[in-house]
Amino acid sequence: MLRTLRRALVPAVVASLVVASLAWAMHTTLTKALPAIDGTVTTAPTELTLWFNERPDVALSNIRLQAADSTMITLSSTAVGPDTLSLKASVRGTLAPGKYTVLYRTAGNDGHVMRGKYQFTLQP
Amino acid sequence: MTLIPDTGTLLRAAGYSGALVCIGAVAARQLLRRHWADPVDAPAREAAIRRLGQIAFGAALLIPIALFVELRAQAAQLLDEGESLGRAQYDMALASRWGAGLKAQGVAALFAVLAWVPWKGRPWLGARLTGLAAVGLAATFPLTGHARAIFHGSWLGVLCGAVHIIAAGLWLGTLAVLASVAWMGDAEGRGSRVTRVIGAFSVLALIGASCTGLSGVLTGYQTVGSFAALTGSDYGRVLLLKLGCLVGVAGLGAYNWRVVQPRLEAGTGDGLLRRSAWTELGLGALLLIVTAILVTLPAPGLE
Repeated sequence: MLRTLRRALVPAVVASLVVASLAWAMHTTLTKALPAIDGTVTTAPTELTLWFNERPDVALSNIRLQAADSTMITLSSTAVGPDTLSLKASVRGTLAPGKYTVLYRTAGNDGHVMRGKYQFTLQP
Repeated sequence: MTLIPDTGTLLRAAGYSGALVCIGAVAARQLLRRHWADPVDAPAREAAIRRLGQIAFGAALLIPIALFVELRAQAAQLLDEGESLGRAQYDMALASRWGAGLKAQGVAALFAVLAWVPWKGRPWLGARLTGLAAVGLAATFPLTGHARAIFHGSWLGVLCGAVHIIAAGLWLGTLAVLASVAWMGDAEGRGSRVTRVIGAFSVLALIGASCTGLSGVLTGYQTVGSFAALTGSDYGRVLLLKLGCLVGVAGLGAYNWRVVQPRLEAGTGDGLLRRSAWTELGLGALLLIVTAILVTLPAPGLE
Protein backbone atom coordinates (compact mmCIF):
# COMPACT_ATOMS: atom_id res chain seq x y z
CA MET A 1 0.00 0.00 0.00
CA LEU A 2 2.73 2.45 1.02
CA ARG A 3 4.75 1.55 -2.06
CA THR A 4 1.72 2.29 -4.25
CA LEU A 5 1.28 5.60 -2.45
CA ARG A 6 4.92 6.50 -2.99
CA ARG A 7 4.61 5.60 -6.68
CA ALA A 8 1.57 7.87 -6.98
CA LEU A 9 2.99 10.75 -4.95
CA VAL A 10 6.27 11.24 -6.79
CA PRO A 11 4.64 11.88 -10.20
CA ALA A 12 2.02 14.04 -8.45
CA VAL A 13 4.74 16.22 -6.89
CA VAL A 14 6.59 16.55 -10.20
CA ALA A 15 3.38 17.35 -12.11
CA SER A 16 2.40 19.93 -9.50
CA LEU A 17 5.73 21.72 -9.73
CA VAL A 18 5.41 21.87 -13.51
CA VAL A 19 1.84 23.19 -13.24
CA ALA A 20 2.92 25.71 -10.58
CA SER A 21 5.46 27.22 -12.93
CA LEU A 22 2.90 27.73 -15.72
CA ALA A 23 1.26 30.92 -14.55
CA TRP A 24 1.13 33.38 -11.70
CA ALA A 25 -1.77 34.81 -9.83
CA MET A 26 -3.68 37.58 -11.53
CA HIS A 27 -4.99 40.53 -9.57
CA THR A 28 -6.76 43.55 -10.90
CA THR A 29 -4.53 46.52 -11.69
CA LEU A 30 -5.12 49.65 -13.74
CA THR A 31 -3.30 49.52 -17.08
CA LYS A 32 -4.50 52.69 -18.85
CA ALA A 33 -7.18 55.35 -18.71
CA LEU A 34 -8.91 58.07 -20.70
CA PRO A 35 -8.20 60.89 -19.90
CA ALA A 36 -4.70 59.51 -19.57
CA ILE A 37 -3.03 58.93 -16.20
CA ASP A 38 -1.23 62.18 -15.23
CA GLY A 39 -2.11 63.54 -18.67
CA THR A 40 -3.38 66.95 -19.78
CA VAL A 41 -6.47 67.37 -21.97
CA THR A 42 -7.60 70.49 -23.82
CA THR A 43 -11.30 69.66 -24.09
CA ALA A 44 -13.50 68.77 -21.13
CA PRO A 45 -13.99 64.98 -21.05
CA THR A 46 -17.58 63.73 -21.08
CA GLU A 47 -16.64 60.24 -20.06
CA LEU A 48 -13.96 58.54 -17.95
CA THR A 49 -12.77 55.12 -19.11
CA LEU A 50 -10.40 52.88 -17.17
CA TRP A 51 -8.77 49.68 -18.44
CA PHE A 52 -7.56 46.86 -16.21
CA ASN A 53 -5.38 43.80 -16.70
CA GLU A 54 -8.32 41.48 -15.99
CA ARG A 55 -12.08 41.68 -16.32
CA PRO A 56 -13.28 43.93 -13.49
CA ASP A 57 -16.37 42.95 -11.55
CA VAL A 58 -18.69 45.86 -12.32
CA ALA A 59 -20.91 45.16 -9.31
CA LEU A 60 -17.98 45.85 -6.96
CA SER A 61 -16.60 48.77 -8.98
CA ASN A 62 -17.13 52.49 -8.97
CA ILE A 63 -15.45 55.54 -10.45
CA ARG A 64 -15.54 58.92 -8.70
CA LEU A 65 -14.14 62.27 -9.74
CA GLN A 66 -12.78 64.87 -7.36
CA ALA A 67 -11.93 68.46 -8.25
CA ALA A 68 -8.82 70.25 -6.95
CA ASP A 69 -10.88 71.86 -4.15
CA SER A 70 -11.98 68.35 -3.01
CA THR A 71 -15.57 68.73 -4.23
CA MET A 72 -16.98 65.61 -5.84
CA ILE A 73 -18.16 65.87 -9.45
CA THR A 74 -21.38 64.03 -10.26
CA LEU A 75 -20.87 61.01 -12.51
CA SER A 76 -23.26 58.43 -13.91
CA SER A 77 -23.18 54.98 -12.34
CA THR A 78 -20.17 52.89 -13.33
CA ALA A 79 -20.72 50.52 -16.24
CA VAL A 80 -18.76 48.15 -18.44
CA GLY A 81 -16.63 50.13 -20.91
CA PRO A 82 -15.95 49.60 -24.61
CA ASP A 83 -14.55 46.14 -23.90
CA THR A 84 -14.79 43.64 -21.04
CA LEU A 85 -11.51 44.81 -19.49
CA SER A 86 -12.76 48.35 -19.00
CA LEU A 87 -15.11 50.43 -16.90
CA LYS A 88 -16.64 53.78 -17.74
CA ALA A 89 -18.64 56.58 -16.14
CA SER A 90 -20.10 59.66 -17.82
CA VAL A 91 -19.52 63.18 -16.51
CA ARG A 92 -22.72 65.04 -15.73
CA GLY A 93 -22.25 68.68 -16.77
CA THR A 94 -19.11 70.40 -18.04
CA LEU A 95 -15.83 70.38 -16.17
CA ALA A 96 -14.06 73.63 -15.42
CA PRO A 97 -10.33 73.93 -16.14
CA GLY A 98 -8.15 72.53 -13.36
CA LYS A 99 -6.64 69.42 -11.86
CA TYR A 100 -8.88 66.41 -11.20
CA THR A 101 -8.40 63.18 -9.28
CA VAL A 102 -10.09 60.01 -10.48
CA LEU A 103 -10.77 57.60 -7.62
CA TYR A 104 -11.68 54.06 -8.48
CA ARG A 105 -12.63 50.87 -6.71
CA THR A 106 -12.78 47.50 -8.41
CA ALA A 107 -12.27 43.79 -7.90
CA GLY A 108 -11.44 40.81 -10.06
CA ASN A 109 -12.40 37.16 -9.91
CA ASP A 110 -11.35 36.64 -6.30
CA GLY A 111 -13.47 39.51 -5.01
CA HIS A 112 -10.52 41.29 -3.36
CA VAL A 113 -11.39 44.96 -3.48
CA MET A 114 -8.72 47.23 -4.96
CA ARG A 115 -8.71 51.00 -4.68
CA GLY A 116 -6.62 53.45 -6.59
CA LYS A 117 -6.48 56.97 -7.94
CA TYR A 118 -4.81 59.01 -10.64
CA GLN A 119 -4.87 62.62 -11.79
CA PHE A 120 -5.40 64.49 -15.01
CA THR A 121 -5.44 68.18 -15.85
CA LEU A 122 -7.97 70.04 -17.99
CA GLN A 123 -6.20 72.99 -19.64
CA PRO A 124 -8.15 74.37 -22.62
CA MET B 1 -1.09 43.37 10.80
CA THR B 2 -2.15 41.53 13.94
CA LEU B 3 -2.23 37.78 14.33
CA ILE B 4 -4.71 37.90 17.22
CA PRO B 5 -7.90 36.50 15.70
CA ASP B 6 -11.03 38.62 15.99
CA THR B 7 -14.56 37.22 16.21
CA GLY B 8 -14.95 37.28 12.43
CA THR B 9 -11.77 35.26 11.94
CA LEU B 10 -12.84 32.70 14.55
CA LEU B 11 -16.30 32.34 12.99
CA ARG B 12 -14.75 31.97 9.55
CA ALA B 13 -12.42 29.26 10.90
CA ALA B 14 -15.46 27.59 12.50
CA GLY B 15 -17.11 27.55 9.07
CA TYR B 16 -14.06 25.88 7.52
CA SER B 17 -14.02 23.30 10.29
CA GLY B 18 -17.73 22.71 9.60
CA ALA B 19 -17.00 21.90 5.97
CA LEU B 20 -14.07 19.64 6.88
CA VAL B 21 -16.13 17.77 9.48
CA CYS B 22 -18.97 17.22 6.97
CA ILE B 23 -16.44 15.62 4.62
CA GLY B 24 -14.90 13.70 7.52
CA ALA B 25 -18.30 12.36 8.67
CA VAL B 26 -18.85 10.72 5.29
CA ALA B 27 -15.37 9.17 5.26
CA ALA B 28 -15.65 8.06 8.91
CA ARG B 29 -18.94 6.30 8.21
CA GLN B 30 -17.32 4.32 5.41
CA LEU B 31 -14.43 3.35 7.70
CA LEU B 32 -16.78 2.22 10.45
CA ARG B 33 -18.98 0.21 8.09
CA ARG B 34 -16.00 -1.53 6.56
CA HIS B 35 -13.90 -2.13 9.67
CA TRP B 36 -16.62 -2.67 12.26
CA ALA B 37 -18.44 -5.14 10.04
CA ASP B 38 -18.43 -7.96 12.61
CA PRO B 39 -21.92 -8.60 14.14
CA VAL B 40 -20.31 -8.19 17.58
CA ASP B 41 -19.46 -4.60 16.64
CA ALA B 42 -22.99 -3.83 15.40
CA PRO B 43 -24.33 -1.94 18.49
CA ALA B 44 -21.21 0.22 18.71
CA ARG B 45 -21.28 0.82 14.94
CA GLU B 46 -24.93 1.88 14.89
CA ALA B 47 -24.46 4.20 17.88
CA ALA B 48 -21.35 5.69 16.29
CA ILE B 49 -23.10 6.26 12.95
CA ARG B 50 -26.00 8.01 14.73
CA ARG B 51 -23.48 10.21 16.52
CA LEU B 52 -21.80 10.91 13.15
CA GLY B 53 -25.05 12.35 11.85
CA GLN B 54 -25.36 14.63 14.87
CA ILE B 55 -21.78 15.81 14.48
CA ALA B 56 -22.28 16.45 10.74
CA PHE B 57 -25.44 18.44 11.52
CA GLY B 58 -23.72 20.56 14.18
CA ALA B 59 -20.79 21.18 11.85
CA ALA B 60 -23.05 22.11 8.94
CA LEU B 61 -24.79 24.72 11.12
CA LEU B 62 -21.49 26.57 11.52
CA ILE B 63 -21.11 27.12 7.78
CA PRO B 64 -24.00 29.58 7.17
CA ILE B 65 -22.77 31.67 10.13
CA ALA B 66 -19.29 31.83 8.59
CA LEU B 67 -20.79 32.75 5.22
CA PHE B 68 -22.62 35.69 6.75
CA VAL B 69 -19.36 36.85 8.36
CA GLU B 70 -17.71 36.65 4.91
CA LEU B 71 -20.52 38.67 3.35
CA ARG B 72 -20.34 41.32 6.06
CA ALA B 73 -16.57 41.65 5.63
CA GLN B 74 -16.92 41.97 1.86
CA ALA B 75 -19.71 44.56 2.20
CA ALA B 76 -17.54 46.56 4.62
CA GLN B 77 -14.76 46.66 2.02
CA LEU B 78 -17.13 48.48 -0.35
CA LEU B 79 -17.64 51.44 1.96
CA ASP B 80 -16.54 54.75 0.53
CA GLU B 81 -15.73 57.83 2.59
CA GLY B 82 -18.67 59.06 4.63
CA GLU B 83 -20.81 55.96 4.05
CA SER B 84 -22.08 53.59 6.69
CA LEU B 85 -22.63 49.88 6.19
CA GLY B 86 -26.10 49.20 4.87
CA ARG B 87 -28.23 47.32 2.41
CA ALA B 88 -26.55 48.97 -0.60
CA GLN B 89 -23.16 47.38 0.21
CA TYR B 90 -24.71 43.94 0.84
CA ASP B 91 -26.62 44.17 -2.45
CA MET B 92 -23.44 45.16 -4.33
CA ALA B 93 -21.49 42.28 -2.81
CA LEU B 94 -24.21 39.75 -3.60
CA ALA B 95 -24.63 41.01 -7.18
CA SER B 96 -20.95 40.43 -7.97
CA ARG B 97 -19.17 37.33 -9.28
CA TRP B 98 -17.82 36.90 -5.74
CA GLY B 99 -21.43 37.05 -4.52
CA ALA B 100 -22.45 34.31 -6.96
CA GLY B 101 -19.76 32.10 -5.40
CA LEU B 102 -21.02 32.92 -1.90
CA LYS B 103 -24.60 32.10 -2.89
CA ALA B 104 -23.44 28.74 -4.29
CA GLN B 105 -21.71 28.09 -0.93
CA GLY B 106 -24.97 29.00 0.81
CA VAL B 107 -26.90 26.42 -1.23
CA ALA B 108 -24.28 23.74 -0.46
CA ALA B 109 -24.39 24.68 3.25
CA LEU B 110 -28.20 24.51 3.32
CA PHE B 111 -28.01 21.11 1.64
CA ALA B 112 -25.52 19.94 4.30
CA VAL B 113 -27.86 21.08 7.09
CA LEU B 114 -30.90 19.39 5.50
CA ALA B 115 -28.95 16.15 4.97
CA TRP B 116 -29.29 15.69 8.74
CA VAL B 117 -33.01 14.88 8.37
CA PRO B 118 -32.57 11.40 6.80
CA TRP B 119 -29.50 10.65 8.99
CA LYS B 120 -31.97 9.70 11.79
CA GLY B 121 -34.15 7.14 10.01
CA ARG B 122 -32.06 6.33 6.93
CA PRO B 123 -28.40 6.95 7.73
CA TRP B 124 -27.27 5.64 4.32
CA LEU B 125 -29.33 8.37 2.62
CA GLY B 126 -28.10 10.99 5.08
CA ALA B 127 -24.49 9.95 4.41
CA ARG B 128 -25.00 10.15 0.64
CA LEU B 129 -26.63 13.58 0.88
CA THR B 130 -23.91 14.83 3.26
CA GLY B 131 -21.34 13.47 0.80
CA LEU B 132 -22.94 15.42 -2.04
CA ALA B 133 -23.11 18.54 0.14
CA ALA B 134 -19.45 18.07 1.12
CA VAL B 135 -18.41 17.91 -2.54
CA GLY B 136 -20.56 20.99 -3.16
CA LEU B 137 -18.88 22.86 -0.29
CA ALA B 138 -15.41 21.88 -1.50
CA ALA B 139 -16.23 22.98 -5.05
CA THR B 140 -17.76 26.31 -4.03
CA PHE B 141 -15.48 27.46 -1.17
CA PRO B 142 -12.65 28.40 -3.56
CA LEU B 143 -15.04 30.61 -5.56
CA THR B 144 -14.67 33.47 -3.07
CA GLY B 145 -10.93 33.42 -2.49
CA HIS B 146 -7.45 33.68 -3.93
CA ALA B 147 -8.00 30.41 -5.83
CA ARG B 148 -10.11 32.39 -8.34
CA ALA B 149 -7.13 34.58 -9.19
CA ILE B 150 -4.37 31.99 -9.61
CA PHE B 151 -3.46 30.27 -12.89
CA HIS B 152 -4.54 33.49 -14.67
CA GLY B 153 -8.03 33.17 -13.22
CA SER B 154 -8.68 29.78 -14.85
CA TRP B 155 -10.72 27.00 -13.26
CA LEU B 156 -7.47 25.18 -12.43
CA GLY B 157 -7.22 27.36 -9.32
CA VAL B 158 -10.72 26.41 -8.18
CA LEU B 159 -9.94 22.74 -8.81
CA CYS B 160 -6.76 23.08 -6.75
CA GLY B 161 -8.72 24.74 -3.93
CA ALA B 162 -11.40 22.04 -4.02
CA VAL B 163 -8.75 19.28 -3.81
CA HIS B 164 -7.20 21.15 -0.85
CA ILE B 165 -10.51 21.20 1.04
CA ILE B 166 -11.51 17.60 0.27
CA ALA B 167 -8.05 16.32 1.22
CA ALA B 168 -8.04 18.35 4.46
CA GLY B 169 -11.52 17.01 5.23
CA LEU B 170 -10.43 13.40 4.65
CA TRP B 171 -7.49 13.96 6.98
CA LEU B 172 -8.45 16.38 9.77
CA GLY B 173 -12.23 16.16 9.37
CA THR B 174 -12.19 12.36 9.63
CA LEU B 175 -9.79 12.53 12.58
CA ALA B 176 -12.11 14.95 14.40
CA VAL B 177 -15.11 12.68 13.84
CA LEU B 178 -13.26 9.47 14.74
CA ALA B 179 -11.87 11.07 17.92
CA SER B 180 -15.51 11.61 18.94
CA VAL B 181 -16.97 8.21 17.99
CA ALA B 182 -14.21 5.57 17.79
CA TRP B 183 -14.30 4.85 21.52
CA MET B 184 -18.08 4.33 21.63
CA GLY B 185 -19.69 1.01 22.60
CA ASP B 186 -18.97 -1.61 25.25
CA ALA B 187 -15.50 -1.78 26.73
CA GLU B 188 -15.31 -5.40 25.62
CA GLY B 189 -13.60 -5.56 22.25
CA ARG B 190 -13.13 -1.79 22.14
CA GLY B 191 -9.36 -1.99 21.86
CA SER B 192 -9.60 -4.23 18.81
CA ARG B 193 -12.30 -2.04 17.22
CA VAL B 194 -10.31 1.15 17.72
CA THR B 195 -7.13 -0.49 16.39
CA ARG B 196 -8.85 -1.64 13.19
CA VAL B 197 -10.49 1.66 12.41
CA ILE B 198 -7.41 3.74 13.26
CA GLY B 199 -5.27 1.43 11.13
CA ALA B 200 -7.54 2.05 8.14
CA PHE B 201 -7.65 5.78 8.89
CA SER B 202 -3.84 6.02 8.79
CA VAL B 203 -3.79 5.27 5.07
CA LEU B 204 -6.57 7.79 4.41
CA ALA B 205 -4.76 10.39 6.55
CA LEU B 206 -1.54 9.85 4.64
CA ILE B 207 -3.28 10.41 1.29
CA GLY B 208 -5.25 13.38 2.67
CA ALA B 209 -2.21 15.05 4.26
CA SER B 210 -0.13 14.59 1.09
CA CYS B 211 -2.82 16.08 -1.15
CA THR B 212 -3.48 18.93 1.34
CA GLY B 213 0.21 19.82 1.41
CA LEU B 214 0.66 19.51 -2.33
CA SER B 215 -2.39 21.57 -3.31
CA GLY B 216 -1.59 24.11 -0.57
CA VAL B 217 1.98 24.60 -1.76
CA LEU B 218 0.73 24.92 -5.33
CA THR B 219 -1.87 27.55 -4.41
CA GLY B 220 0.52 29.41 -2.13
CA TYR B 221 3.31 29.41 -4.72
CA GLN B 222 0.92 30.78 -7.33
CA THR B 223 -0.43 33.49 -5.04
CA VAL B 224 2.88 34.63 -3.58
CA GLY B 225 4.74 34.62 -6.88
CA SER B 226 8.32 34.81 -5.58
CA PHE B 227 10.48 33.68 -2.68
CA ALA B 228 11.19 37.33 -1.84
CA ALA B 229 7.46 37.95 -1.34
CA LEU B 230 7.29 34.95 0.97
CA THR B 231 9.22 36.82 3.65
CA GLY B 232 8.61 40.35 2.41
CA SER B 233 4.80 40.48 2.57
CA ASP B 234 2.14 39.92 5.24
CA TYR B 235 0.54 37.26 3.05
CA GLY B 236 3.85 35.43 2.61
CA ARG B 237 4.68 35.51 6.31
CA VAL B 238 1.23 34.21 7.34
CA LEU B 239 1.55 31.54 4.65
CA LEU B 240 4.84 30.47 6.23
CA LEU B 241 3.10 30.32 9.60
CA LYS B 242 0.40 28.14 8.06
CA LEU B 243 3.05 25.92 6.56
CA GLY B 244 4.68 25.63 10.00
CA CYS B 245 1.34 24.61 11.56
CA LEU B 246 0.82 22.11 8.73
CA VAL B 247 4.24 20.57 9.34
CA GLY B 248 3.40 20.37 13.08
CA VAL B 249 0.06 18.65 12.47
CA ALA B 250 1.60 16.31 9.90
CA GLY B 251 4.48 15.52 12.28
CA LEU B 252 2.05 14.63 15.04
CA GLY B 253 0.06 12.52 12.57
CA ALA B 254 3.26 10.70 11.61
CA TYR B 255 4.00 10.14 15.33
CA ASN B 256 0.50 8.66 15.77
CA TRP B 257 1.03 6.44 12.79
CA ARG B 258 4.56 5.20 13.43
CA VAL B 259 4.75 5.24 17.26
CA VAL B 260 1.29 5.25 18.81
CA GLN B 261 -0.45 2.86 16.43
CA PRO B 262 1.98 -0.04 17.04
CA ARG B 263 1.46 0.47 20.79
CA LEU B 264 -2.28 0.42 20.23
CA GLU B 265 -1.95 -2.89 18.42
CA ALA B 266 0.03 -4.17 21.40
CA GLY B 267 -2.87 -3.08 23.62
CA THR B 268 -1.06 -0.31 25.51
CA GLY B 269 -1.51 2.88 23.53
CA ASP B 270 -5.20 3.72 23.99
CA GLY B 271 -4.79 6.74 26.29
CA LEU B 272 -1.73 7.94 24.42
CA LEU B 273 -3.60 7.84 21.10
CA ARG B 274 -6.52 9.85 22.49
CA ARG B 275 -4.22 12.52 23.86
CA SER B 276 -2.15 12.62 20.72
CA ALA B 277 -5.21 12.74 18.43
CA TRP B 278 -6.74 15.64 20.38
CA THR B 279 -3.42 17.50 20.35
CA GLU B 280 -3.29 16.99 16.57
CA LEU B 281 -6.84 18.38 16.34
CA GLY B 282 -5.85 21.35 18.51
CA LEU B 283 -3.03 22.15 16.11
CA GLY B 284 -5.47 21.57 13.23
CA ALA B 285 -7.80 24.20 14.75
CA LEU B 286 -4.86 26.63 14.92
CA LEU B 287 -4.16 25.84 11.28
CA LEU B 288 -7.75 26.77 10.37
CA ILE B 289 -7.51 30.06 12.29
CA VAL B 290 -4.31 30.94 10.43
CA THR B 291 -6.09 30.03 7.16
CA ALA B 292 -8.99 32.30 8.12
CA ILE B 293 -6.51 35.18 8.60
CA LEU B 294 -4.71 34.33 5.36
CA VAL B 295 -7.81 34.53 3.16
CA THR B 296 -8.49 38.10 4.23
CA LEU B 297 -5.00 39.34 3.31
CA PRO B 298 -4.29 40.81 -0.10
CA ALA B 299 -1.85 38.91 -2.29
CA PRO B 300 1.74 40.27 -2.29
CA GLY B 301 2.08 43.46 -4.30
CA LEU B 302 -1.50 44.53 -3.61
CA GLU B 303 -1.15 45.69 0.01
